[in-house]
Amino acid sequence: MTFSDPQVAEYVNKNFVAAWFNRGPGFFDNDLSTERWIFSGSLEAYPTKNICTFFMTPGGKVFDYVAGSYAPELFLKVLKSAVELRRALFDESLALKEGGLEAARTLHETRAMTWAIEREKVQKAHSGDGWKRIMSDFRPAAYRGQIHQHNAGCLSSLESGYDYLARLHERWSRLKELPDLDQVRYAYLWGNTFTEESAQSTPVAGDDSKKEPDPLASGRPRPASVDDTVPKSAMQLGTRGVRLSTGLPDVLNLSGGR
Amino acid sequence: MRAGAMKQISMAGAALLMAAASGWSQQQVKPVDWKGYTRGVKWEKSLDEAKTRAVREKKPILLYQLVGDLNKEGC
Repeated sequence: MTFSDPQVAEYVNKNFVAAWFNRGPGFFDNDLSTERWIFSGSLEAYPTKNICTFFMTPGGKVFDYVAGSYAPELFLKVLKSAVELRRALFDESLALKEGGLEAARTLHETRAMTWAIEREKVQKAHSGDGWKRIMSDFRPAAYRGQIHQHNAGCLSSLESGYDYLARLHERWSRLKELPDLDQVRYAYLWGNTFTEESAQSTPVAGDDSKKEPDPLASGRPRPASVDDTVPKSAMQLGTRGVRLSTGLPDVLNLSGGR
Repeated sequence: MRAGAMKQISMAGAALLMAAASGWSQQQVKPVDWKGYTRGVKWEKSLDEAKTRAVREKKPILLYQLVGDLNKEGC
């Protein structure tokens, strides 16, 4: 569903060369009941180990990845984050820039904190009509005759996605060098254990994001209040207390501005 | 026959009015239906072919790895 979204497709085609790879047959292949179950209950974010999107150089160096499936609105933010990392790390020819790794670490650190703050906003929206404001960023969707209208129950899915993204970027913020695809292809951080792997599928190693530290518990200063009224510029401060060296705009729009 | 066509037109108009009255204001955006995953995104046939084009176009690669067939799965 995500890749058939026109905005996602246009952004992918403009910024990436796309390929997909089947790591093995799944025992749920063509089982619509499973797909409908995920579509109904976890459309916004489902960080399953079953799927992983890798962002990499033509030379095979991975500079970002995300496990699972996401609604188009959230996946677009993931894509924009990857583009920002690409600009921080590499020159026009995709050669590593001097200071690129440090800039990427700072970006990941900031992303970890801001996704964690988004998670906190979702947690606080569970009472009353708070879900309406959170879910207003997401369009309803249809899939093979089934329509997903967002409701209060969608907050749990979104919270799991934000929690995963926060901990994923927390891990990336400790980046020492860019891994080769073979190093992470079957050993990546995931958010839940759901998988369609059969005996013939190459398995993915257990690497649960819950074991990663929570950025909000790190003791680092928060880049901004969870209050939406905080100016966007406040979100552009790295959590190391310095302004981001990339000088790039907050393309993720995590500060809530429109 | 002409009367039948007129009746159909008026029924369609009434349905539109009812839809507008009931759901239009609540549902500003029409849901996007499933169209097939290979549409829209220009997928290369293999990672090697993606690498070749990525070098030529100076773009990074997006590699989507899953269990199953992207043409059939709900991703």
